[in-house]
This record gives sequence, structure tokens and C-alpha cells, in this order.
Amino acid sequence: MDGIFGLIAAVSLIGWIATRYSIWCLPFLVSVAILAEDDCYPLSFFPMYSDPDESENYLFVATWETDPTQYHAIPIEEATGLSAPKVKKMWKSYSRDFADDLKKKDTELTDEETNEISGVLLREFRKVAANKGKELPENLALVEVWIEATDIGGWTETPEVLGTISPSTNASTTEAPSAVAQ
Amino acid sequence: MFEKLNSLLATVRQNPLVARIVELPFWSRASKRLRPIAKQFDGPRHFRFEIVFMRVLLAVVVFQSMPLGAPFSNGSQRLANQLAPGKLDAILADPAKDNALRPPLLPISQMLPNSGASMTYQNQDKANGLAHLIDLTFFSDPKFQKALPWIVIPCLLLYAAGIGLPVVLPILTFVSIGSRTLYNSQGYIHHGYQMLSLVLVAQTVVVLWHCFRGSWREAFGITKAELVHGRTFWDRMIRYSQWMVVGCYVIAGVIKPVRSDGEWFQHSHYIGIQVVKTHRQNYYSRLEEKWDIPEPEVAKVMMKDHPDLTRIFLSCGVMLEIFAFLALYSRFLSLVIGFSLVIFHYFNDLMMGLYFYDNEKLDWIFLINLPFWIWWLWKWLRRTVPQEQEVGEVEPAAV
Repeated sequence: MDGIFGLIAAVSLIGWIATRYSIWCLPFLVSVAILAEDDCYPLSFFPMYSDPDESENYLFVATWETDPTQYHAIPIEEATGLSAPKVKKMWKSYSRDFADDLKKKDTELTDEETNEISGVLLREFRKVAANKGKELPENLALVEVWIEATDIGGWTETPEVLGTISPSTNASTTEAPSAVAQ
Repeated sequence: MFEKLNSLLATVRQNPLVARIVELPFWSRASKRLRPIAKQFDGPRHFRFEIVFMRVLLAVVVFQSMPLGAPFSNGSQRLANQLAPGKLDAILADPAKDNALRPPLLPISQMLPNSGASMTYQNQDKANGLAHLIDLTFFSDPKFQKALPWIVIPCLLLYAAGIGLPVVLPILTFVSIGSRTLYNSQGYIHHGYQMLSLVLVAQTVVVLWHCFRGSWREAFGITKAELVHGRTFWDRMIRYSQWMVVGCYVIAGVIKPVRSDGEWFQHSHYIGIQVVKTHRQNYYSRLEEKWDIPEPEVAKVMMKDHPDLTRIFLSCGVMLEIFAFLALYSRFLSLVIGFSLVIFHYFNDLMMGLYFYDNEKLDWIFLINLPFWIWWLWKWLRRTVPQEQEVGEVEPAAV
């Protein structure tokens, strides 16, 4: 696909220079933006909702007291200015970079590696909150929830703790016990 | 460089094989038919009042996007509180009052001339675009933040007045791209300002091009812009800004079938899953009760009650994005498609809590272009209302 968009970009650039008609800038802009993906602001390929699927995930930050599976969510945006969508985007970006360093895909990361990335990310949130003069609870957990479509037109939501940090232990990964059916 | 490229293209055209292809009946017929259409897409001549309105309104939108921080980020509320204490705060605190003009207009909070918040990012670990080349964290430096309004506000005033654009536009473009690149270099990509930055890039390129290859006096606003091939450089600046606006929609539309291997239309009812996700994300950001809805109604309609109608409805939205470029064929299409895009944004906001207010503002400025249509309506009304014949005036036919 990249080759096709590269060709469209080259042809439209030549057409633009040769004819001076402004319409040529449209295929040029579209193909260059799709090639640049999201790595070259202000170009973007606007990937939101571009591949609807029967499953989707979201992440949130939680705190816990003694058992990480008994967590409760915290309003992360109030302390850090980072909304839940940003938390997910950061998670994706951090795990992609981490996987790239290990020369593997981010879908192939082990539980330990996922746990490590969660720790890095949670400490980053703590730092961002501190920069804003706010404080996050000592025990933090990063929770991922998978939403999956069912055959009867409903959906289920399955939470999983990706990783935790606390003052004593660095991190531990735990599975949440139940799936919530809608 | 472009002269060299042009001469290279001329040499290619003179090549016997290329010349034979160009002379083929099909080719010449196609080019004869397509040329007027391509020319039509080069845009109309604009009236002076339209150009002035567009400049002033864009200056306001750029100001709203600039990371100037306090007192500019809450200037309107401060001023309003001095004039009528508490009134504006009461409107902004109540979502119903804030959205009283929506649709089709934006929430009142989005129309206030407040700047963006100042940057607080001390690193750019997940560098994006320009951040690979330059350390942009100076946008978070308090000393620079103190100086920034003194750079941005005079530039915006000069821009609105149409003076010194070859200097003013590159500065505004750099601040827009630089600050938003730093924002996007924190590990998450925000898609709210690309269109605005692209409009600024397009205007900068057109004005610098005109400065070096046309008349620098015109580009600086010293002399009146002359017609070249039937258009002034202001017309070209507006046209390329419009291309950036519709281009962003076309990208968003084209990428959907591309990334989903053509399955987008069939799978579009699964956007219901995304609606659930957006509701949950909105809830977990601030734990606001209004988002704590176990079974969002829109998701239920999409997934369970009317999946086929949902596919048709959402596919219409994607078609609108893909064919948004037709808006530039004529002023009327620009009005119709521009308005459709505003409604499209409204539905996105209503269904998924997804808003792109800056894109909506650019639709109003560059596609809907209300000042022109108000003028047009006024002219039309004057033409249809019969004028009273003055005493002594004789119809030529009666002589």
C-alpha cells in the first residue's frame, strides 16, 4: 500500500508543477499524510475509528490497599491532566518502543515485560502529577479492560491488572477475577 | 529548482513517445473535458470584505490555540466578571446554557477569545516530527512563556490587518507547530490542531512563494494585490487553506477502508464498541457520574437494535469525508458540504462525546463563509424587491 501512495504522491506533485492546478495538492496531501502516519505533526492519518472490530480496550489508573485485585479507580485527569484516552495512547507508545528495543511485536510482550512497562508509566504519572503540585496515592495499578461484542448484539467487559507499583514492592501482575457481562 | 523541473517536464513532453501518447484521441478528449473542471477547483475571486473577515476570524482561532496561559487563557471571564459579575461563569458552568446555540454554532465557551493553557512539559521522550530535530521544551520555559504573548499577539494583529505576512506567518506557523509537536511528543497524539497548523503552513508557503516569485510589496501589504491569471495571491491563499481543511477530511475518510482492508462498511456497527469505550474513558478520566452509564443507549442501538441502519448512517458520514473535496467546486457546494460537516461534528459529539471544535471553526470560516452569503442574500433581496420609479424617469421602451 505504501508503494501505491508513494506513486500517487509523486504523480500528483509532477501534475501540480506541470499544470499549476491547485487540485493536485489534494492527492499529494492525502498520500503524504497516510505515509507519514502519526509521526510527523502536523501531518496525520487520523486513525481514530478506522478499523472497527468486535473488540476494543481501554485503560485506567487505580489505587489499592493490601490486595491489588481489590482496586478502585482514581480520577487521573484531576491530578495529572492526562485523560484516560491519553493513558491508553501513552501505554501503546511505551509498549511499542519497549517491544522495538527487544526486536519483537508489542503483542508478543510477556507478563513480566508488560508489568515493567506499567511500572515505568505509573511512575511517569506520579512525576507529571508532582510537576502540577499534586500527589497520587502510594499504591497504583494500571488496569486494562477488554470490551468484546457478543453474538446476541451485546458486549462483555473483562478487566485485567497490567501492573502495579507500591513503596515496598516494585511491581506485580495480577489477573482480575471476573468478567462483567452486559 | 522549479524552473529546472519545468524545463525537464518540457523535455519529457517533447519525447516522441510521450508526444504520441499525449496526441492520442482519448487523451486529448479527456484533458479537454477535465481542464475546465480542474480550473473550476482553482476557486472564485473573493471580495475584499471576505478576505478581511477570514483573516480576522482565523487570527482569533489561532489565538485560541496558542499556549499563552494566564491571563490570556481566562481573559474573557475576567473581563466579563468586571462588567457583569458571575453572569458568564454561570453560563459556562451549566452545560445546557453553554450549548444553547449548539447546533449549529459552537458551545459559548469555545467562542470566547481565550488562549490555550501554557505548556508544562519538561521533556520530549516520545519525539514526534520537528522534535526529532529541535528540543522544543523551551515552550515550557517560564521566561519564554513570559515573552511569547509579546511575539504572538503583535503577529496576530498584523496578520488580521494583512501587513507583513512574509514575516508574521512563519512565526505563527512555527509557534503553532512547535508547541503542538511538544504536546504530541509526550507519548500520546492529539488530533485537534493538525488542520489549523496545516492551514497556517499552506498560507505561509503561498505568501513566501508570492514574496520571492511574485511581488514582495504585495505580500507585505504595501501595495494592492494585482490579478495574475484571474486571481490575486489572497485568492490563492484562501484556496490552499480550503484544500488543507477538506484534505484533512479526505484523509480521515480514505484511511478507513484502507486500514480495515475494505471491511469498514461491513464492520461499522462495531463503532458501538467504541462508543462504550469512549463512555468508559470519559468516566475514568474524572470519575464523573454523568458518564457512569452501564449500557450506553447509542451503543445498544448500534449493536443490538439497528445494526443495518447504523451501517448506512455511518457510511454516509465516511462518504461525506471522502467527497468533502467537492466543496471546493463552487461556493454553493462549499456552503452545503461545510454545513454538513458541522452537523457531522455535532453528531460525533452527541453520540461519542468526541469533539473537534477547531475543525468546526475552520469549516465556518473557510467553507460556510457566512459574510459572503449574508452579502449575497442582501443583494438578492434588493433585486427582488421592485424599486419605486422616480418622478420624471422614463422607461427606455416608452420613448
